[in-house]
Amino acid sequence: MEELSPESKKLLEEYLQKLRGVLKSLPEEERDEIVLEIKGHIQERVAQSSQAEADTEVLKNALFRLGKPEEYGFEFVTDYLLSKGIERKKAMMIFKGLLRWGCNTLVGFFYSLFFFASYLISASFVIVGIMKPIFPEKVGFFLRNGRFENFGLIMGVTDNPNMQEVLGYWIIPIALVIGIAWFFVTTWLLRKVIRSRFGFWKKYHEK
Amino acid sequence: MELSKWIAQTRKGTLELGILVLLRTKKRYGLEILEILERNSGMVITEGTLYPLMNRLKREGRVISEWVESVSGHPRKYYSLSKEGRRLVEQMIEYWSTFSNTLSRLIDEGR
Repeated sequence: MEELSPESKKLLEEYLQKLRGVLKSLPEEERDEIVLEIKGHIQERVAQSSQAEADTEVLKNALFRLGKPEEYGFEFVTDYLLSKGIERKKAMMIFKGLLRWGCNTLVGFFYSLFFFASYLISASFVIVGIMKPIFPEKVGFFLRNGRFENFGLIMGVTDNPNMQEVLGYWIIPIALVIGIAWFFVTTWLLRKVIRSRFGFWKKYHEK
Repeated sequence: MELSKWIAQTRKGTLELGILVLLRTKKRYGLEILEILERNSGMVITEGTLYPLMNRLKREGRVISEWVESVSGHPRKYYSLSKEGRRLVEQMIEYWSTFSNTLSRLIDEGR
């Protein structure tokens, strides 16, 4: 293949640099491989063109058809964070992946919202369990006149005669178990969603 | 508007099948897959979206990849079906033929 003109070389290098930037949270090896593949694609497109065309024009056209690095590069990263995060049980990766997915598509936005909310609920149960020994009077399973009032922390006065706390210190194991079970159910659901969303084949596979 | 939306969805849903079918006969690289898709099937996709898709297929173990030095001087990343991918594509094809036959019959009967 003939050499690119200096102007084209600069253009190509800028494009690949931008792609590298988009892919920066991937491990170096994976990032290099993607960049190399895209670079090969572009070079081949340029090499295919007839001699008559100016190579800068051909290059610009090839880059245009490929699209902006941000547009498709994002997908590599979201895929990586979610699938590897689930596989390696890395909460931070899943968190970042969900954030990206949520910013990227409407479906992703609703899924992310759902999972963040669900993890928040799970965390609040655990927090209730931890708070009980610290604020024994304020934390509990409260009934008012025999009807459900609150599970967890009560801010105001708790010596209202109509208000009854029914669980005592049993709330600690109960809240912890619910919180942890909630966490695992959420994670199980998340795994299912990620597998089906980032694994189209399952639909055909499992019938 | 409605039609173009439906067409886009249909294309998207069959794209993976198209790609896997192409790899059934031999290993191919990204640009080659793109060119065949464009030429034969009107399955036009943004070129950039093919690469994340191939990456995902690889992550899922449907395809494997290898780098091969080409005559033109730059290395190409070739994709081929994994054992699991091969089994899957046969099942997909079987499903697809039954499905499209049924649909054609339905259309014919409605005439």
